Amino acid sequence: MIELEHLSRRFGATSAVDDLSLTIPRGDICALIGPSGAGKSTALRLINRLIEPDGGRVLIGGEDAARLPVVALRRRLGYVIQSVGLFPHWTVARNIATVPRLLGWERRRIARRVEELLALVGLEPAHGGRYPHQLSGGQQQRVGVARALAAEPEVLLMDEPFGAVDPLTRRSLQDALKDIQARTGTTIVLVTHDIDEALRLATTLAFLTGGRLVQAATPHAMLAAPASPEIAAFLGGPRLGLRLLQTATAGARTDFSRTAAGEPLDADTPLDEVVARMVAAGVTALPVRDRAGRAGVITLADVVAR
Amino acid sequence: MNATATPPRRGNRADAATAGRAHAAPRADRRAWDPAGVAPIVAAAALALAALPAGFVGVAPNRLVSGVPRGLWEAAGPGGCLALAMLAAALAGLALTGAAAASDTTPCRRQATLRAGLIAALAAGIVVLLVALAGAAAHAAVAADSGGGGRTRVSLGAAFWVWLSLALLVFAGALRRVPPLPARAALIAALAAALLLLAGAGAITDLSLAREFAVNRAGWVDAAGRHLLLVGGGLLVALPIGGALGGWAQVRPGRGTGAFAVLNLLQTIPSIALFALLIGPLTALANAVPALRGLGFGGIGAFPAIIALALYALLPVARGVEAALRAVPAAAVAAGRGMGMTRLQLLAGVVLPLALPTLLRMLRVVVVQLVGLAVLGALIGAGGLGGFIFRGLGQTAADLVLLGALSTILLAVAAHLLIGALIALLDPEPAR
Repeated sequence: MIELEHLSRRFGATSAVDDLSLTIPRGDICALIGPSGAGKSTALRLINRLIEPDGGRVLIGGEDAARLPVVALRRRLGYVIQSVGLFPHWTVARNIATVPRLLGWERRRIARRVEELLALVGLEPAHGGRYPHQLSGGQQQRVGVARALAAEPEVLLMDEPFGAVDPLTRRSLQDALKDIQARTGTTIVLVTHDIDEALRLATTLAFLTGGRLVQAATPHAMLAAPASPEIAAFLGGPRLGLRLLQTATAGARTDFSRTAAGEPLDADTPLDEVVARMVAAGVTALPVRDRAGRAGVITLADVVAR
Repeated sequence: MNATATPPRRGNRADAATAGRAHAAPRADRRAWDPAGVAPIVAAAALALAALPAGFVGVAPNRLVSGVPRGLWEAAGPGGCLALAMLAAALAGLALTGAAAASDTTPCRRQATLRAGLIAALAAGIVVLLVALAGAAAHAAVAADSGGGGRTRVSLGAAFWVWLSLALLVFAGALRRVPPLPARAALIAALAAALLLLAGAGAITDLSLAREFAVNRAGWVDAAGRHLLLVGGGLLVALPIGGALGGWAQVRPGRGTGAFAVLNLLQTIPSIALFALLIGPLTALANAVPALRGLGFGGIGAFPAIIALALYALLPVARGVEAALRAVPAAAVAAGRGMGMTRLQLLAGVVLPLALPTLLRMLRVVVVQLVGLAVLGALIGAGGLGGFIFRGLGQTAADLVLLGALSTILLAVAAHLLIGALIALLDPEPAR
């Protein structure tokens, strides 16, 4: 669990982060969103003390981060940046082993952990012996994530982690991250510009502007009731309703007392995709099947109902 | 003066070549075998032929009179001429077919490497043959002039120098297209060994240059050691100070400009002037603090020379360190810091290894430059190989000048090759 209590940080005359208080429960994925210059990255760096606060404090698992030795603190927190920052002169395996080596793990334990992590982020064991420049951008990002997870950090801090890769790769990385988080239960704090990324990954959205926290809520709650016009505009303006569809799945709106003919949709399908299928097929109702095998029907009226 | 100007240029050119190879190996290869590559071969051949009428060696009755030139035919005889012509023809043929092979769309890397290796070997053969022929001609001339009482001097002629330079250029150029490091080292070692063998076997003892060397042998070893001492001393002073300046400029880009302006200004002072300018203040300082004089401190001698060399090295060292630090990816440093590396771990594990190749390239340029500049140390009593040059100038003994200049060049080339080998060993992955 991470608690930010009245965090403030000024750079000269401008206030980058202003009286920021936010609690991120264990296992949560919290996305810090907001316009450029809102103080998102600064807030993230205040957590691992790459920037020291002018006021307020950060509690990690109840411990005051300012009281911990800074190097030890950072080794407990995974850190992923947009430019990845792999060490070009080290192999992938050595890169992933960075923090375990800093922590003085035994050699065999490191080797085992590296193997595990390569599999976890979807890379071949053979990739371990390669150098970063021999990998694609997406593979480098995967290595970056593996490196951040190496010492089983309590918290993973990610600063626009997938900003520099193409949309398809980004999507597969997001899926991989979601999958990893589901398996490891790591708390993640994520800075992103990409509202779709935030909606896909986050369990909590925190909207910052001018260094201040304006609203922190679940994606659904924020989309359903944005606290300010600025948030509404940021979340999509007139298209906000379409984004709202991303936050719910077909299963929740399906009438399981009826059935219909045709290839059934998966109950986990997000509603925006359900609408897309309806549009593509020119129908207003589609069959659904959930994991348990129950069959049902979802209609356009069910989708748009609030 | 030639000696002072040539080594740095050699260093820079080879530097650019290494950088080019590291980043665009395939392109460099294609360019090397471009049909346009025929032009330099033709030009070299024309130059080689044009030098034919010039003297291969010059024969003078004594050390102070200028010699009478003797052409290649006269000096080397039909056998020598034939051997030289055959080697040159083989070389030209190989180079031309190599250039023509570029029009084939499939450049066979291994074949090109093999061809370059052969060209280098042939060029080395020509170098050795030229030296051997000149040595033999000298021997013959001295033997013929038995009445001269051993005062006959056989110097190397214009044609010899033209051909030697061409052969060495071809050797160096071809060497760059031989990627495997051991093969390259072997070719260089073979050439050096062949020349040493020639000298050891007494094949060149009658050349005036060799005589000057024989006369000055003890002094030469001293001078070369002294020369290295000056260069080493200059580096010892310049590296920490220049390194600190470069590091500082990299951390605070705004404030470094002033320091660099001063260093730039320093660099524009003519080198002879700087050596002379230091005499005054350093003498005054030594007079003011007599204790310093006991440590060899003073206006003339090794100390001011080392200071002058260090002053010249400051700019390239500072610039080199700054560039090397800038070449370290900022993201890697940021990531390392974010993952909890201490300053020392970051420096030793990330910054230094990533900066090292650039640092060594800087060191190579600086060392070669200082080896050349250290010649001037002789002017203010610091000794070194410059001593031969200035003594030779005073006595109008061209061979003595040549002895100093050639030794300096050899020293610079050796330093260049040694540091180059170190760079290649430390950076085995050129694809980065």
